[in-house]
Amino acid sequence: MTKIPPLTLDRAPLLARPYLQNDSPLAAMLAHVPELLEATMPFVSTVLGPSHLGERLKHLIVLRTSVRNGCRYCTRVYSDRGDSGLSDEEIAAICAPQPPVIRFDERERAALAFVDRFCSEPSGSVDSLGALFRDDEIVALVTIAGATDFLNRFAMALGLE
Amino acid sequence: MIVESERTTLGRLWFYTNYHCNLACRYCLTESRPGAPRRTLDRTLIEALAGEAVELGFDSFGITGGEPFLRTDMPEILGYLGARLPTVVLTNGTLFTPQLLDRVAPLARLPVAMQISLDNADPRLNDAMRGAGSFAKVIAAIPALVARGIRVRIGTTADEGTVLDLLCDLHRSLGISDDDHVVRPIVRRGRANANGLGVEAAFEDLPTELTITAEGAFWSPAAPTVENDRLDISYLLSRTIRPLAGPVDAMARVAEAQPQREGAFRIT
Repeated sequence: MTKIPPLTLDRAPLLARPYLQNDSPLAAMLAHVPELLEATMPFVSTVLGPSHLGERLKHLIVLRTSVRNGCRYCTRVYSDRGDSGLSDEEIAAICAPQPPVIRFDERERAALAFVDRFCSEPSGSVDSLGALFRDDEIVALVTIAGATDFLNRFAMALGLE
Repeated sequence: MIVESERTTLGRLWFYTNYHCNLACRYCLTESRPGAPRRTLDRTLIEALAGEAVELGFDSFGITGGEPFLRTDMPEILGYLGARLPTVVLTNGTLFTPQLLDRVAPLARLPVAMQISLDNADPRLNDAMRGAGSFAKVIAAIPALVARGIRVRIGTTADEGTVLDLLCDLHRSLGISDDDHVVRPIVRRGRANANGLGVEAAFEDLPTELTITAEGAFWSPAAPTVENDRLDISYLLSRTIRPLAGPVDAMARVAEAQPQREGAFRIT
């Protein structure tokens, strides 16, 4: 079975080392290809960093995407509510097969429904968002869900723990 | 104002053409040996990179390995590179059969130098490090190459047993001047580390010369070493080697952040 070891600071390429200060399993794996690391980490930091959508909505999208994709690593990381403003009950609801929508406002329910469609069939997944989100917000929603989808598949394929 | 004479170049571009070798020297940085993973650099890729290197401002090429002349296309590769920039190939000098000598003879018209490893004037001590019979083959190859007009340099990897006076007498007797004799220490990487040989080399000690391997671009020809069959990527700049401007940019960013100190090890 192929198992790729994450790189430690002392074995990582020179240009990868600044990214390995925070014990990021993603960075430790991407360090095998420093040019990908240097492009990916700023991208991920921007997409999953502070967002004009707000921390709560962004966290909801990332967690729900990870749940739907079956990524245990990302689900575990984002089940920590951190500064999202989500309650433990809301985190548990997002992780449920069918989130009890009563807990969430109209935009959040729409975002959850978008993620569920996005993870199964991206085409048409934004069709019902126009009434509740501006164009820029829809683009941000799709970017966050898409980046999370990439991270989920990366983590699952390479066995990140 | 930029004065023409003050312009700097990117220096030498190195190619690790392959990692396997007919010898298994005790201090080899790359654990090269017969049967080692070859990590062969495709000839068409070398030629494409050579063209880019000329455009970018490199001033010379270097070829190392492994033993480059285990590749049957090495004379052609050297001819291609030497027609564009001065080129040196590091070789153990043990494979120069009459047939190979005939094939490399046309390189005498180009600025191509063969840097042959010779560590000791005492065959017994030399071969203890480099392999039985290697001294005799080298001593035969050097005058044969010189007779064909090919520039030969001697590369000595020295340890405490190296008697330089005797070695210099020997290379002079073979027609090699002092200017074409390079002495360097054993660097404690690769098999040298496993055998407890040589001196530690910090990042700042390694020569700053972009080095291309089949597995990526590295900071220095002393960087892509192998230990326990694993390629050391701690001085890897990028996996992507074309366009060559990418690794060149990465090297510049590393150099800017980590300036070299005086006294870096010489490879050539």
